[in-house]
Amino acid sequence: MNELLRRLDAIPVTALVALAYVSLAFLTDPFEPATEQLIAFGAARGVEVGNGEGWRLISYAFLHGGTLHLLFNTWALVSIGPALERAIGSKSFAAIYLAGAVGGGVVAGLWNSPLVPLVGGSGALFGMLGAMLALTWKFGGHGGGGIRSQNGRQLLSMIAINLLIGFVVPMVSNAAHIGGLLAGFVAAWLGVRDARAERRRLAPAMLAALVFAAGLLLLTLHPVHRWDYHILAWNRAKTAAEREVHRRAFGLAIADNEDIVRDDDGMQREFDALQKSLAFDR
Amino acid sequence: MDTNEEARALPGARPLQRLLRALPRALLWAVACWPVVILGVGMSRPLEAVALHQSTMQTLGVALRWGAIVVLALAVLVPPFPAGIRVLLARLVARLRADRGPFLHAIGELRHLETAARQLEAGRAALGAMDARAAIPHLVRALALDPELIAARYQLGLALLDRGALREAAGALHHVVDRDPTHAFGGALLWLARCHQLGGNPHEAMALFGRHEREHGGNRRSHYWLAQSRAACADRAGAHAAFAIAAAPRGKQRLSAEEGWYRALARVALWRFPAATTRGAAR
Repeated sequence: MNELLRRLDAIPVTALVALAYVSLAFLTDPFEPATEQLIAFGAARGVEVGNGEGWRLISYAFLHGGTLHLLFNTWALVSIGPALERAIGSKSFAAIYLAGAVGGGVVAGLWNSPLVPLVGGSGALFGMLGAMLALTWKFGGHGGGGIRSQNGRQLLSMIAINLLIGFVVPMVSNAAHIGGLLAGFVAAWLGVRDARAERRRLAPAMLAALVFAAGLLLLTLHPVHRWDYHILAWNRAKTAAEREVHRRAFGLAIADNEDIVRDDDGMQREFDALQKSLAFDR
Repeated sequence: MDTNEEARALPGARPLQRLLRALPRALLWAVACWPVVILGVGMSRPLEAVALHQSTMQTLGVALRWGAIVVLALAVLVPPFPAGIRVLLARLVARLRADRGPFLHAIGELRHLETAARQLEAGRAALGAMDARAAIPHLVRALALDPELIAARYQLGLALLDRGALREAAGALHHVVDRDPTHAFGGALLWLARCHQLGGNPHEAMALFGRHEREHGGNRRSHYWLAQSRAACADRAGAHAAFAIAAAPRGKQRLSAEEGWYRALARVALWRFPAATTRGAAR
């Protein structure tokens, strides 16, 4: 027991994340949780995320949609988490897990329908793989060789196989995987430094990647290009002019036609339909 | 003419080259700023934000479709195109596979003891990792510690050339050629000639490429560059001869991506520089 506690003490973040996976599974339903339960506990759905509930971009990464999903992700976490946490430290590991979760949530949120909920730690786990790839690339891996080393080749194979599984298996959001992978890679590349290397100016490509990532995050939180944002904004609008602008933007976004909904009554019906579909999901 | 005068005589990169180099960076920033632009527009003009997003997506779709068509057409119509794609892929793979481990190791070694040789090793490792920007300070430091370290000056010339500092690269390489004309099996001579060629000094480039060919033989790339400089000096027969060597049949041996690229370029160039007898017969 003491030995187990001593081991867990060396990897507190991995242990806490695994504990959160299991606890939240039991708080919802470990076998087949209902969509409404998942939404209530923090699943990421574009409508809510774009409507002021940005915290869902993190909370979804601790929820799972069933026993198999939970077991697979927990196994992946305890397989790759401890080595990475020991290598870069608990704070950096936690930052990379969160960056992977947010990156996965952002890309999935922009790619998927705003009504589709997203759950699972796989985006964040891909973030960890991205971080390991970045570190192998940047620091040369064990015994040198960079991406050509055995570590590098194994990592690339693992990522390729898991992405392939994501494309083949239905209900898997590969957008979240890709987003998590990229976010983890960039976070580790920028955040983890070698004590031997001198501090250098940020490379233009990395700076551009950061600006792009920040822009995507803001666009996920305020999806001004999407129909659901405009129908909710129409409902909140105080003046007739504002309502008119959002009515036309909604029509343009949903059907490439500014006048698909001609008046406020039509918008009210669209809003009621959206509320009904969300309530149905809940 | 001493080294510095020689270097001062060279102009920098041409405006068109600077523009072409800036184009990928401009595209990168345009893509990077796109979400922020959509958001900024959407905050004050929601309708325009939706329209901008949709038109961007439509334009992107059209650009991808037409891009694919243009690539296919170029592959069929322009002979160097497949070789160009191959060389671009080879460079991309080399960049992706570049290993920073030896560079970091060399920096670590420098913390214990700094010598010119160790600084040179760090600079060389940085160049091996395709990071010329990181290599330059180490090579400059190596030369400060030992100004007679010819290898460091050669590597510095290569790093400066990689960064587009033609005058400074030519200065460093000229110094190497003065001291050791056969350095790096004629590499210093070749890259000095290339500096002059890129700097718009074809006569000097032609003389140096010619000397490189006489003393070291050369390969398809150096013959192609020699032919280009001869063509720039209006020596059509000489250009034809050098292009013909660069475009020679490859035999059974598979060419590297770069050799294939220069061979393809030379074959196309031969259409513009036919042999004198052929031209006469045609007339």
